[in-house]
Amino acid sequence: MTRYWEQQRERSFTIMLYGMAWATLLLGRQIARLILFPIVGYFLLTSPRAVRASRHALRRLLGRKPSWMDVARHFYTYATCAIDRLYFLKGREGQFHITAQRPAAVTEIASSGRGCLLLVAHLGSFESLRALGTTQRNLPLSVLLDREQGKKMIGLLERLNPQLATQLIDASLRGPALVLKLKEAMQAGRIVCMMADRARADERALAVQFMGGAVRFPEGPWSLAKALGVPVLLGFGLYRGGRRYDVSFELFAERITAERANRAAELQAHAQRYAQRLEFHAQRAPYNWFNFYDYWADEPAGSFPASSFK
Amino acid sequence: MSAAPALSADELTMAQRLVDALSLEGVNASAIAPNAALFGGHSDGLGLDSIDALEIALMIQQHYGVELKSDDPQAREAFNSLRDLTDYVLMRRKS
Repeated sequence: MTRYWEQQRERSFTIMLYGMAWATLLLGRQIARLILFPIVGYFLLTSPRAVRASRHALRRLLGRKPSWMDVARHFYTYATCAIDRLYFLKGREGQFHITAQRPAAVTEIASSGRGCLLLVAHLGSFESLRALGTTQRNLPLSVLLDREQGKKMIGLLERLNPQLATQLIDASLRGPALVLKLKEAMQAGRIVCMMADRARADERALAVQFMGGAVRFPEGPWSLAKALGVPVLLGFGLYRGGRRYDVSFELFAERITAERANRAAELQAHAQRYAQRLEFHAQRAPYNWFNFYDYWADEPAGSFPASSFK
Repeated sequence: MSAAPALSADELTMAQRLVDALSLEGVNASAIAPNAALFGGHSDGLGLDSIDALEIALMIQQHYGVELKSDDPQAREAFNSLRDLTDYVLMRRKS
């Protein structure tokens, strides 16, 4: 089981980072980013799995062998997004420059009160999307999160922003109760956000090609959108250095269809098209890729020889 | 398991609607054991998953006008078996 992302060091990495960042809410962002340097250095030296995962991903996303500096920059981007998340949660997004791309079709659906799915990924900052949607535009957002997976972290986030607690749908419910909650949220016209780039080990998954390798995407979002007949939107919040975030939304499909006889193949085709959109955005911002575990099925643990480093 | 106990007329109707809604190929509605677990990998159950639960909830909303609510413990228990589901829906429809 240890090879699954649930058990990864990333969790302790995140908790430590957030503990530190809490203090830096008081010290301000510039000082916080200075403190991140030794912390990132520490994790570079002590987290071989995360370093290996970073090298695997960067090699694909950059299209070349990553250097130590690339990996350091990758970690630093992750750490920066993690502390910025706190500022977003505290409603301090005024200090950032956020550009937003929102096609008319997306605005129409988001403000129609129809309910829809908003798919996001472990790429850049989900919180920049949320800040834009809830704080600035007052959209009815619900966020699917697994409380069992990050009790401490979610507890911290909710303390920072009590409004968030009312928006969370707890994925650890599993089973009928969870899908009924999701159905109720969307039928009540809410925009339900969920991560679509990681499948749990015990969850139905679809095999897709992503950045030249095989990965497992969860089937849930696609089955859900199909059953409920809701539109599917995609959201990307990319960190661009300094205080800049680029947020963009896309209309993926007005509805997800799949003929019964050919259901698996058609759902797979949707997931594959999503993988291509994710690829496009990940390549725009390679250091924003935040899946620090063995993501590709064809790269088992330890398969990456040290000699392939520059 | 032993021979399935007979289904009531309501249970048979429900079973047929389940089979249609979930397009359970090769499942004969009248052969579904009324007390067998609908979900999970039980040997005599249907082995349904959570998306199937959603399809069932949508079907029941459509055919019976009853909404299965996530915060209603009785509704969650209704998913236990064909018999529980039928009883719950008929009970709710009367009230």
